[in-house]
Amino acid sequence: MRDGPATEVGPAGVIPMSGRGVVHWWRKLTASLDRSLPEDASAVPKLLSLLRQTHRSMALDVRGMLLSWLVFWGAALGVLIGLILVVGLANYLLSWICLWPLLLFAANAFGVCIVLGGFGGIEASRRVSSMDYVIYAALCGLPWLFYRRYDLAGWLYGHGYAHPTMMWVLHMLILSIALEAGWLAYLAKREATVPEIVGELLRRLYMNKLRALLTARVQGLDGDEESAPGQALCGPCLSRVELYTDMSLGVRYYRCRSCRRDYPDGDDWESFEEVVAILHQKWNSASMVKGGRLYVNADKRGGLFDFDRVEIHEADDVQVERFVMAVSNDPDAERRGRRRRCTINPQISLSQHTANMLDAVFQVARAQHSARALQGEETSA
Amino acid sequence: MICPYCVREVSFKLSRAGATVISDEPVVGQQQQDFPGSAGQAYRCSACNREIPTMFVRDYHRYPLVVGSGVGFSGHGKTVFFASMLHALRDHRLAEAWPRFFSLALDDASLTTVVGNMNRLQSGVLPEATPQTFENPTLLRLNNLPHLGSAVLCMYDNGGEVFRSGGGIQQYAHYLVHAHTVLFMISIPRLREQDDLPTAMFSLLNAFILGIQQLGGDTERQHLVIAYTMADVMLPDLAEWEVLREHIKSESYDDLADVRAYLRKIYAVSGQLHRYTQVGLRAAAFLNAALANFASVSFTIVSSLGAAPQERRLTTQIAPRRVLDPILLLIANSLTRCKSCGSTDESPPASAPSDWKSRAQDLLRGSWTKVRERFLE
Repeated sequence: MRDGPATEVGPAGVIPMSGRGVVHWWRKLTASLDRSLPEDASAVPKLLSLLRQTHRSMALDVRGMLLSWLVFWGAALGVLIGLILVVGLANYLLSWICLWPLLLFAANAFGVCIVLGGFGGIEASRRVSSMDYVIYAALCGLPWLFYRRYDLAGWLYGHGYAHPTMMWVLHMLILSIALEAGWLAYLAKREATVPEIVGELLRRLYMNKLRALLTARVQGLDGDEESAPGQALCGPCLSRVELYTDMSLGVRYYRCRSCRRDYPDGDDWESFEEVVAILHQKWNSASMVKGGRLYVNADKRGGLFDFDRVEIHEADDVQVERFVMAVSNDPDAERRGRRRRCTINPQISLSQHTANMLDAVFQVARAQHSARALQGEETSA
Repeated sequence: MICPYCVREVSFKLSRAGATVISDEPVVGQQQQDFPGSAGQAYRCSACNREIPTMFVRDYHRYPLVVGSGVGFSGHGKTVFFASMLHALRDHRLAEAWPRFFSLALDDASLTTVVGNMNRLQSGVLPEATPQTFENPTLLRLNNLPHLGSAVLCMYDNGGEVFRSGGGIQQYAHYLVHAHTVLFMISIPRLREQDDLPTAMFSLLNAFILGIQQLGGDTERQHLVIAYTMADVMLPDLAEWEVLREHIKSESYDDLADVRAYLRKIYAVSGQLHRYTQVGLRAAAFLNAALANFASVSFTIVSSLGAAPQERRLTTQIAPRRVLDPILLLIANSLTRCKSCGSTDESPPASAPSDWKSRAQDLLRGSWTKVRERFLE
């Protein structure tokens, strides 16, 4: 297995704007996609075949797809226009604030206000506040915005303007048409033939969807099945199985949130009332099921999993800190966002420092029960 | 963002171990970790490719990075000070004085360092001397410091040989360029044994300024905190400095409860130490050079162990004195939040000019990172 594409985070993840830069960027992008593609060149026919099979058995909501496309671009356009108006006004005000001390306002013989001095500056201010210069991005450093330093006549030196480049607009247009509109699915339904070169382009642009489809065995589901999973857990990774909806394809399917394993039959997951992470130095089992609850030994388990609460039965400060550190370092944003309950066995002595730490991360309660709660019929989960 | 390992301005990649096999059949029992949030994912530095703790990347803008490193000659107590400071940060008396405070190691290596140092000191054994190499930092998140907020403390420890020349600093201590506040650790008893004291102090300062200049840094934007170590051995020298003696003798954590008042006290002690350096140590050249080259200069005095060890072993239980003072000054200077404390003549508060433009950039980049992550999810 080779590494898949990496997601750049931070200011260095920019799309370069020079000609050579764009070529280099495109090569890098396609190379990373190539790494994630299968060696098998017949991926596109396979995709189309699968799409046909899938979409024959379901109503394809073309209107929904079109609506999502229109809403997306309508909202984007609205935001852009709003931004233009606000920034244009701010530019205009800024120019006049800068000009104010340089100019002299006086009345002429006809009682009309005239402006004396700094006419070159006024000319420059008109240019800066023109509607052509869309977004003031000197602070933003956003990657797709073209930015130029604008050297005016001294007093406005250093201000600049920016606007989306044509390359970025084209790039986003192509991507959004291919990824958002779902027209590939439409083509598939119509059993349209796709020329090889177009297929290759689609294969590159539509890679995420293709992978999802081919590995997921997408399944249309009835509305009343939506709430079925509840506390359903994926066996290998102990993460929740959730219902996903793909608007562009008009399908819904059950999938493990963590490992992305699919549950096409809709019922082969394991379901528990509650999942409890246990910290217990003397407990040797990896997990046990008792009263519909799954108790997982956090030390033995190693990796993180979806738990509803924590029970600290017998642990020292270091063990607790190691667990808190792992929970805080969880890359899963959804899991991290939940504030879970934590019960501490009152018979163990944790330091005040550790107590403060637990208070910050969990909802802590001191329990009366002891480690004996774990003694029971142990079942492999 | 600054990578704590290669100490460069970099971006962090969320690496994905993605599935590469595509088939018509559903993949059963095979984990495909190809999306943000899956198990086995980690942020990596785009320059050195080292794994970076998720907490560090995710909360980079919420928890400001404070570079903590001791600058000082060999045997002046840098490593012992850091070990003792880690020990003090987990002292139950501190957790009681600051009810919501706790320190959390960001990765396994840091936790191992913290626990190792604590165990070693508790059993009366001193930490080993640090070699002249660039060691990985200890990353510690300090949460809910009263009056100061929260921060990530990135502690580097180098052998003292590094600080003998600008070249050494350039090669092994380049992280000091990113430090808002620099911590000089000077052992007066040790210097009295070996060298001409004022000259040795001046040469340390000179080497540091040279090193930072060679790295393209500017010491005038940095704050200097000078910590006199081995205070227990210094006590006979401080016979005429009653305030300093009292400060050092006290083992209590009670006065830490009100951090604002405590910082005022630290600054008052700093004023006394300033005069002690001038009059008692006759290191006026060192002082003048420090005042001319740094944004601010403060002094503290610490005893990391409470008593002098014998053959690298403690003869009594460890009883650190005032080891939190330098760290409080370090954080207060770095976060520039301590606006109202210690603004007397003898205790100049260190407040860096607020760089609103870089703050705005950080804020926007942080928001942009979040938007991007959501988009990619």
